[in-house]
Amino acid sequence: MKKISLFLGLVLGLGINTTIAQIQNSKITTVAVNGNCAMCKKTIESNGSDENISKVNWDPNKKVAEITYDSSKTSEESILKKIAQAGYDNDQFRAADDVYDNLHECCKYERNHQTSKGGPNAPSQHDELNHSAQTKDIDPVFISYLGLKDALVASDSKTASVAANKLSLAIQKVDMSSLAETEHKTWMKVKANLEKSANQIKKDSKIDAQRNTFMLLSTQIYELAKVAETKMELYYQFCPMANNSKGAFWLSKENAIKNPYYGSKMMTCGEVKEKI
Amino acid sequence: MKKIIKFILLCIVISQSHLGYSQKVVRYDLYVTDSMVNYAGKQRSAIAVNGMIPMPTLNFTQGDTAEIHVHNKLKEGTSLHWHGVYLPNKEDGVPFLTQKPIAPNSTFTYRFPIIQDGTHWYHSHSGMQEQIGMYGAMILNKSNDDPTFRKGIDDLPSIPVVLSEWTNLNPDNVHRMLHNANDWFAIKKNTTQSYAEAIKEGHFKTKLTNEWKRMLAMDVSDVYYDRFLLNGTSEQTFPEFKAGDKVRLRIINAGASSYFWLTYAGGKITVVANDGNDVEPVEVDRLIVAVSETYDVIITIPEDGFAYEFMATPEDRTNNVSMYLGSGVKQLISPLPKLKYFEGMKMMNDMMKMNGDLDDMNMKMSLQKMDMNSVMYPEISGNTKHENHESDIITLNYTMLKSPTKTTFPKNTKVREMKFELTGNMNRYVWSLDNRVLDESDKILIKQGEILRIVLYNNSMMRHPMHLHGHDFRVINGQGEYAPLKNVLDIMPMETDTIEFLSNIEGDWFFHCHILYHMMAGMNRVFSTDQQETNPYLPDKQWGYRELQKESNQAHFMIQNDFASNGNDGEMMLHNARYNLTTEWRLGYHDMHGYEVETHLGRYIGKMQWFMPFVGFDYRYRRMDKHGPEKNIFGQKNSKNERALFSAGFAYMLPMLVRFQAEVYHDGNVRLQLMREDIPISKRLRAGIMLNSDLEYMADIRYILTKNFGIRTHYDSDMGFGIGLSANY
Repeated sequence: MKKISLFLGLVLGLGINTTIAQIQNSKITTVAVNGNCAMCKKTIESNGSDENISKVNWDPNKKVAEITYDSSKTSEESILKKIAQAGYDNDQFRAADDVYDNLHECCKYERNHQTSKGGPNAPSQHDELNHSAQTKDIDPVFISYLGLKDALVASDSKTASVAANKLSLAIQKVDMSSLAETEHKTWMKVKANLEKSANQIKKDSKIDAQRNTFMLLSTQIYELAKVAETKMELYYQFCPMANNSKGAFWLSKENAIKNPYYGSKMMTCGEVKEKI
Repeated sequence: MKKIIKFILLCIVISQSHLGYSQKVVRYDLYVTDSMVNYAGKQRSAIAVNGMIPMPTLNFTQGDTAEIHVHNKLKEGTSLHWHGVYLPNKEDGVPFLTQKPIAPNSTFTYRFPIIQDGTHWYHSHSGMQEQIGMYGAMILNKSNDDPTFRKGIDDLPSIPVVLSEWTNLNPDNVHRMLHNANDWFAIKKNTTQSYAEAIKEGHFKTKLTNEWKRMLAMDVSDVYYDRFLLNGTSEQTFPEFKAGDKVRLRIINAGASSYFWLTYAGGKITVVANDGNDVEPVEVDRLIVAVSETYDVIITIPEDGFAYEFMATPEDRTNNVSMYLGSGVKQLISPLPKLKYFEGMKMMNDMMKMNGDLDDMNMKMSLQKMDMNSVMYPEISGNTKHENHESDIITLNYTMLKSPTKTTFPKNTKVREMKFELTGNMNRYVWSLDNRVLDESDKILIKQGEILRIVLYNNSMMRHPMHLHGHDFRVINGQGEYAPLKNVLDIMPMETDTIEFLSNIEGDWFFHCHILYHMMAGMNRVFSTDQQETNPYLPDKQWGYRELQKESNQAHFMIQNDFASNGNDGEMMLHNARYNLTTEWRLGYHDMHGYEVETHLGRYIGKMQWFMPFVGFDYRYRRMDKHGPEKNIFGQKNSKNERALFSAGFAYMLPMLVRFQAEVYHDGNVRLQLMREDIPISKRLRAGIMLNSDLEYMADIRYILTKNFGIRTHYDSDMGFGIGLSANY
C-alpha cells in the first residue's frame, strides 16, 4: 500500500512538474519571419525559444511564426531580435549582412532590400590603387607580391598559388633595359631567386610550405623595393615569432599589421620596421 | 575734450568686456538617497541621486564655476569624485585623501572653476557605491569663442551614453566572494573550464598544463552581472535622425569592472575625442572602452527607413545593450560570439612561466596594438564552421590617437623617471603595484614643476585601466609632439607603456586601477606634492592615509560546513592580502569517531604567495578502546586519543594546485600532508583528496546546487563514509 501511494505520489509530482513547466502569463502573437527551408525552421525556433519563457513555431510555407511567451519575463520584440540576430529578417528587425551571409546556402531567403555601401567593412572609396600611373615597370611585381601576401594572410593556399603564378608572369614581363642602373643591378641579382620562389609557391599545396618559401621571397622583394623608383608606399614588417621564433619579414602596402605567416591565428603579431 | 571721450569709451569697453566669457556659477543640488530597484527580476537596494540612476547629467561650459551641493540622505558616508577634471585637490572627492566622508544627513559643497572641456563623468569614491548607481555624465562644453572649436564635430547633436552593469548580489559580498576564489560566477557564466568540458573540446592537455602551472580557470572579467545598462536601461531609441545625419555619441564606461566593445550597424565609427580630450578624427570599425574611459565618436545614419543599432557588448560577451538611431525597421549589427575559453587558456599556458612571471616571447607589446585575447574571438580567429574573412576589421588602438595640438611640456623642465610593475594573483585576488598593496606603501613624494615619466609594465594576467587623478598624462605612442592626453590607460598583460605628466597642482593625487574590485584589493598609490597647504577638509593627513590603506586591505571571511551522516566537516577562514587565519574541524557524532579542531595562522610570502609559514594549534579527542595510539610513517607515536598541541610549519602550493603542508608539534611529532581541493570535474562537480603522514586520508565529491549549498559525499579514514548537505558562505 505504501509503495503504491509512493509511486502515485511520484507520478503526480512529475505531472505537476510538467504543467508548471508551461509558460505562464502567456501571450500569443503571429509575426512574419523570413526564411527558406527546414534548417531555417530549426534555427528560428531554437533561437526564439527559451525554456519556460518563450516558444516559437515557424511555418516555412507561410513564412509566419507563432510566438507564445511569458509577458512578464520577455517581450515579442526581444524574441524577434534573437531570431534576427541568428540571421532571419522580420517585421521589426533586419539581420546584419555578415550574419545573413554566413547562413547555409539553402537558408538564404530573398531579402527585399540591399543596404547601401555605407555598411561596416565596406571598402573605403579611396582604396583602389591608382592604376593609371603605372609608369614604373617593376610595379606589377610588387602588386602581385602583395596579392600573394594577402592570400597568405587569409590562410588560403589555393589563392596563394594563383597569386604566385601571377607573380612569376609579372617577373618575366619585366623589361630589364628600361630599368634605372641601381634597379637593374639589383634586378639581375634577385630575378633568379624570385622566379624560383614564385614557382615553388605556385606548386606547393600546403600553406606551411608556401609560407616558408615566402620568407625568402620577401627578403628578395625587400632588396628590390629599397632601390626601386616606385611611387608605391611600402611598409617592411617583422614578426619575431615566425620561423620558429627566429622571426620573419614581409612587405605590405598598409601600416596595419596583418600577419601572413600566422594569418588569423595571430593576425596582429608584428611591427613596422621601415617605411619605404 | 578728446581725452575725455577716449576715457569714457575706454570705461564702456572695459565694463562690457566681461560679456566675452560666461563667468557664471552653475549650481546643482544632488540628493543622494537609498532606493529600491528591480533591474533583473528581484527587488534590490541601490542608491539614486535626485531619484535617478545613472545620476543626473551635469552640464557646464568652460569658464563657469561649478558649485555642487551634495545632500547625503544615506545612513552611511558618501563622496563624489569628478573623473578627469582639473581642480584643487580638496575638491577631488576621495575620502581619507582629500576630505572626510560626507557624513549621513549632512550637506557638502564642491566648488571649482571649469578650466577645460570634454566628456567627463562623476561617481562616488566611497566603498562600492559606484556599483549600485552612483555614476553619471559630466559634460564640459567649449565656450563659444574657443579657438579649438571644430566645425562638423563640436556643433553636432550629441548624446551621452553611460554604460554600466548591475548585479543582484550585494557588491561587498561580490568582493568577498572574489577573495575567497568562489567560482559561483564562473558557473553562472559557463566559464568553469572543467575537465569534462576540456575533454569535450579536445583540450584535456591544455587544462592539465594550466593546473600544472598552478592557475585557476581564466576569464576576461571577474564578476557575473545579471544585466548591463545603457543610460540606465537595456535599450534606447532616437527616431529623430534621418539619412545623412551625423550624431556625436559621448560614450562613458561607468562600469565597475567591465570593458565594452562598441560596434555600429550603420558603418564606420569616427573617434574624435578620448578621456575628454580632442583627437584627430580616426575611422574604425570597432573599439573597446576600458573601465572609466570616455570616447566621443561620430556615426552617420546611412538611409531612411531603418533604425541603426549601436551596440555595446561587455568583454565577456554574456549579454549586450543597444541604442537605435533613425526610425524604421531596426537594422542589427552582428552580435559578438561567445569567447573560446580553452584557446585563451592555451595562450595563457604559453605565456606563463612556472614561477608566475609572464613571458612575452620578445613581442614587445604596447598600446593595445596586439590583442592576445583575439585567439578567443571567433569573429577574428574563425570558428570551426566557416573561416571568417573578418580579418579586415579595423580595431582602434592607442597608436591611432593623435592630439590636434602639441602637448609637449615647456623645455628644460626636469624629468623624473619612475617604473611600476602591475602585479596580481588571481588565486588569492591580491592586486598590487610592484607586489605591494597600498597598505604596504608610503605616499610617493613628487615636486611641483617636474615632469613624471612613468614606465608601466603589466606582469599580471589581466588588463588594467590605470587612472591618475587631477592630471592628464601624455601617452608616448609614436605621435611625437602630438602625443594624446589621457587620464586612464588600459594596459594589457605583458605590455609596456610610457606616460608622462607635469606636476602642476599641489595635493595628494590618487593613482589606481579603476576596476573597483582591484582598487579595493590594494592596487593603488598616492602621488603627494611637497609643501602642501593644510587641507581644511582633512587636517590630519596621517590619520587619513592610514584609513585609506585599511580600506583597501580588509579581512575577508569565509565559512563552510558539511552536515554529513558521519559528522560535521568544515572550515572557517579570515584572511587579507598577506595573512590567513584558518580553523578546520572534523566533528564526529560520538566519541569513537572523535572530534578534531585545527587552527593555523599564516603569512604569505612572495609574489605568487605559494609559500606560507604558519603557527598552529591542534586539538583532538577520540575514544580508542580497541586500537592504542597509532604510529605515523616516521615511527612516532601518535597521541590521537587526546591531543592539544602547538605547532609550527609551512604550506606550499605545488603544481596541479596540490597544497603541501609540513608541521612540527611541540611534542616532537612531525606531520606532512598533501591536499587538493575543488578539482573541477564538471561544471558543478568538485572533487578533493587528502593524504598525510599520520596515515589519514580523505576523498570527497561535491555537487554545487546553489551559491550557498551543495551535496557532498566523502570517505574519511577516521570517520568512514558519509553523505550530507554542504553549506558555504
